[in-house]
Amino acid sequence: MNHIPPFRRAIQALAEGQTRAALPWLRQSIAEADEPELARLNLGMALADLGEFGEAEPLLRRALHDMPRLAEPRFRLGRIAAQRLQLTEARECFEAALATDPGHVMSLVGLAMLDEAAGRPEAALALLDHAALLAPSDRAIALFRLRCRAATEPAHAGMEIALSLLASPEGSVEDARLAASLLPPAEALPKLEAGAANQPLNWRWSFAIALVQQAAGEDEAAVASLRLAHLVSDGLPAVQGELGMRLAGLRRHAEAEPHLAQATHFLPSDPSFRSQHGITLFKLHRFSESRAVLEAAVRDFGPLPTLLGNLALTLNAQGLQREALATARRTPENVAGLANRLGVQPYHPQEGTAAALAATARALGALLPAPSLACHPPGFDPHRRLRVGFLSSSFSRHPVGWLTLAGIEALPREEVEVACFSLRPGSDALAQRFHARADLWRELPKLDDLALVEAIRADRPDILVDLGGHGEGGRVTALAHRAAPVQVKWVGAQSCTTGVPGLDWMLTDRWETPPGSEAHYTERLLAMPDGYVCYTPPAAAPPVAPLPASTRGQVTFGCFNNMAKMTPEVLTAWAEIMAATPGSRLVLRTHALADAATRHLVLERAVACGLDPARIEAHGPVPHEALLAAYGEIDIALEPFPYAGGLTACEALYMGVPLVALAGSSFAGRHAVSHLSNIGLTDWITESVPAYVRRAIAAAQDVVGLQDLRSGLRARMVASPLMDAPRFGRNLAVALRHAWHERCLAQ
Amino acid sequence: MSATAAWVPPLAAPPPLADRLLAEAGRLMERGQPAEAMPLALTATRLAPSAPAWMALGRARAALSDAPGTIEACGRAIDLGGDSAEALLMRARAHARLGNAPALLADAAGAVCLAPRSTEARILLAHALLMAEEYDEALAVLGDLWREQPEDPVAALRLAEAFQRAGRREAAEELASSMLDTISLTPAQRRLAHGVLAQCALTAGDPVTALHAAQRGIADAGADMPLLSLSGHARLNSGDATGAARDIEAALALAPQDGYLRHLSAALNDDVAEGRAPDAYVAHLFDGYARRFEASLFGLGYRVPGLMLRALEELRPGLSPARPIGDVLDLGCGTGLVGVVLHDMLGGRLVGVDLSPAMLREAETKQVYSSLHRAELGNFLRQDHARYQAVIAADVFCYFGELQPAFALVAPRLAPGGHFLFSVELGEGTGWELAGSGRYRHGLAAVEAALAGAGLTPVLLRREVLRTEREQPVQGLLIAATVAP
Repeated sequence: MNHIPPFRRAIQALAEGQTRAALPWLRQSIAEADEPELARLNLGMALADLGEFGEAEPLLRRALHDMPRLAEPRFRLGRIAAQRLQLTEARECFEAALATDPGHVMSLVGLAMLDEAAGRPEAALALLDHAALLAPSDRAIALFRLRCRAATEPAHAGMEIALSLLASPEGSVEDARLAASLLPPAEALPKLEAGAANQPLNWRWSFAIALVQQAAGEDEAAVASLRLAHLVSDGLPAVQGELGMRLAGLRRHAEAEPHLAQATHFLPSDPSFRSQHGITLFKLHRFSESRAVLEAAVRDFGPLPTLLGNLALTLNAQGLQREALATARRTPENVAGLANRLGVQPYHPQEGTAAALAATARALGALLPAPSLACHPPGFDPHRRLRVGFLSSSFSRHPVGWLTLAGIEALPREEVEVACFSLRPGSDALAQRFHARADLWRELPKLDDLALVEAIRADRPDILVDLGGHGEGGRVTALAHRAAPVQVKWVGAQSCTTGVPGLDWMLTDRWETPPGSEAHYTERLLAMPDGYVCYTPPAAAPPVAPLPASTRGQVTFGCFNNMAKMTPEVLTAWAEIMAATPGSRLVLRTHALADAATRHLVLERAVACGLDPARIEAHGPVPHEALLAAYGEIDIALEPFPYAGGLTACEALYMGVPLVALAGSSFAGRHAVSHLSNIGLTDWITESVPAYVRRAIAAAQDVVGLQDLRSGLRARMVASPLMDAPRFGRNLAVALRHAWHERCLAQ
Repeated sequence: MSATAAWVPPLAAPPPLADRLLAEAGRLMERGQPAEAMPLALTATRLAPSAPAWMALGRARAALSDAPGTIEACGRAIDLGGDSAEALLMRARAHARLGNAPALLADAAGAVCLAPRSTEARILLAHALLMAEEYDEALAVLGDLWREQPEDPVAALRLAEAFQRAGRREAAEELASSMLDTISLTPAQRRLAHGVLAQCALTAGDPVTALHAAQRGIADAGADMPLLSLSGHARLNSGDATGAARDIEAALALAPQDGYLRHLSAALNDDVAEGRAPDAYVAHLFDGYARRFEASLFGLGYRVPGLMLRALEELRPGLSPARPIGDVLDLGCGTGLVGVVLHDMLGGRLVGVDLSPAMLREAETKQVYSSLHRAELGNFLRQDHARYQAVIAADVFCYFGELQPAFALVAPRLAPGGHFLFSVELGEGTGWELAGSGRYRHGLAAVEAALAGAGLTPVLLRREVLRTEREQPVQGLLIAATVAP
């Protein structure tokens, strides 16, 4: 068959639907100048069909240049623009295609799709009437027309058309979406269920049922219906992708991932499936795959903000702080974009300073409204019992839970009524303790900012404490609308100032924010006399193990913080420490290291920074108790910088492992400073990288001193303010009362 | 054209799809996701109705606590594939959930016929027999099981529970105590054994021992709903309403769907509750109470039956065994105290109705009732077509907030010239309120309005002390009414 020219072979493969198989023939045609212009056009079209827009676009532009009288390249570019959500550009392309060829049916359909998506079904219908004249036997156009007719009719008549569309032997997810959108659930569900009972082999009924259930907030039921639709449709990608999306929405990421992987493989042109696939891989700590998926999506769909934001988080999780911040900076400077930036910037070796973070936070704050609470019916009596609300999606086994529970439990009941505003239901042991202490418990559904604030206001808290910040699940920007007369930022992505105008105070201590820090906070500083948190150890924490160096003869350094905190500067400092401590080892243990590619990347960077890979042990995650037990093999913990460990530092100390810390300038950079100061280990705090290195080397040389310290460290910590819950509770009440008094004076 | 009006017959289903749906449903059931398995199984029954498909649907529905749906699916499976022990057991459990004792008994017995060695089937049969108050048979089933499997704590604990339910306190206590002493039980089994001891003491009117047993169980094996509830009842019976409220609230937190606990908790916490006490509450309350009911009431200076008799004598001058009343309906007859007081003057039928089987059994021993019915008052009145010279409801409406619906059902049951006699506990306001005792109190205005609304006219209305409670007189109203002219 050698005599058949490559272009013909390619066209044959395309005609047989073998799109991917045609690609090498088309590339060969271009290389061998066998119909190169048409080959470029067809290659662009084929790649676009495979969702590889990044590669397709320049080929199509070249085809447009080479063959200006053809409508097809313009139409194809329009379709890519539409899938990148660049709707104006898409419209221009379709209109240009029609100017070239007024009978280009698919461009008419493309314009109709844009009109339909923009809520103009009448305009879409007019275009489709034209298209139907040109292609009277096209079944897809006929169904699309019917769908637009249904949308233009009054709801009930529309619903009847939509139902007949659903009942027809062919159809698409869009038909089901239309049927689901036209009637309220109470009317739609019985009709759809009757349809499903009559036509058990027609998946569109259960797909539509799922959409109605989801609109009614019945997410689990929607998943059940989508599972059925998925099986009945025999794995149709649009259905499977929707199933993956809903599972991910329920945070069932391990179940969602295979569905999203399949759906994006067979339907690569759907940006939301691709984006969610990247996020789901991130949630599963499969960072390198997540990065690959998101980078490919950015190539194909362009710099959509959600893609870039999630890519920034993934890069950060892999320890690529500079690339992460650079990616976050490509997102628009709106609230979401700047909040995303605040999620990665604290980790940046140069830009993670209090001053730089404050600049970003202030830019974010400037975009937020600054309304005040119109009235506060309970009034401003400075001495009465206060209702203090806590807003969190983490009243559970989560760092926020471990660092706030003891303090909230210990708040004096006669002075403070505790109201928990939970953004995510939880039922673990910590959640139960929060429940037990709360005088008022509210599970808040997904609400927009104003509705969320209204829901909190309805319970009239005097003080609202935010425990989410700009982190995942956090809603601190909503508090710009003000939900309580006094608003306080506490634990929960508390890495720097929030910048949010309605946040009056930041709960802190004199080590987290030493004098002079005020300039870097938009909040007033509400300093606790001891530490800003109170640590609750897990009930099942293992006992402190003997010093490993005493049997090994050599010191083992450890760091169980996540990869995002391990900057090249940190790795370089560790290399110096290890070089000066012969025979020593370094044990790393975190989620990212279970991901083979990320692990490889980390070790590569470690080597570049001068570390000996043979002396590094890199472990993936283990269950919490086993993680604590793993401190049994660590002599000295090395704190990262500029983002220090919070809960991780507490856990190391509780397990008898002292830590060498470098004081940073940001809130996130001073957690360990606060904890060490509160247990009287200020000599482990350093102020510069050389001092950090010297301190670690000196500690490693004093095995007797390490042994003494380790044997008494837990008792010392338990007796310290860091774990003295009653003392913390009293002081927290005093601090909150102070904030309340100030508010009463302003009245 | 309406898409749903036209019946589109299922296309010939490729069997693999139904099979795949069932396989996936099975996987989801194993993963504990019955809500997601259910639609798959339902569709499988539509594509290829078969006993396995219906059974899969039954399992999913059973796991979702859909008792009527489970009964339907098991029934279809049995119709298609013949009886199977699993189908009968599953359906029996659904009947148990719905409180349908005869159906439960029939299916449990059927399951034991098919699988005579099945521990599960025999325990369910014993449970059914206990519900039907066939104590001797229940004890025989469990006794056999225990003798065959002396090492199996499940059989022994069920037997202890059955002894307790059958009123054989000593046997129950001995067995439960020996279980706690000798065998290594799971925490749940230890809680059950402690619960049997506490319940025995509570039923015998010994709240101090009951409280001790319940608290020992909580300390020993952790709290569960029954132990907290027993502790709460023991405290309530010892006069510690605050402690009782705390326990009952904690029990309710563990079983938020329990209507009985919800009502009791609301009562103890002065919450505004529903319009009437749930049937389960009333039945449960008196089931545990029946054997000591009269002793308890006489101890409280209970006067209502006597008041009823005197009212009848006033309303019907010359009433005597020679000039009797005629047919009488005794609503909420309890242990039959009203029957005992009236039986000389009856001259006609005396029909008793109560929710509590234990109470009815006590009433039966009095041998004065022509018939006794276990039913909720409203349901009985809706189904009964007889007319009575007197309808009596002594201390019944303390379990009702809204009176008018019940009154409206009574009115058509009165023969011409017939009387409706009842008592209420007197409240302070004009409406009704739920008191800490779990009983409702009614204001005079509420009673009058309800009577008028039901087409009844009071002919006698008197303030009376109904009994003493904790040495305080309980004020009430005694009312007689006739159909308004």
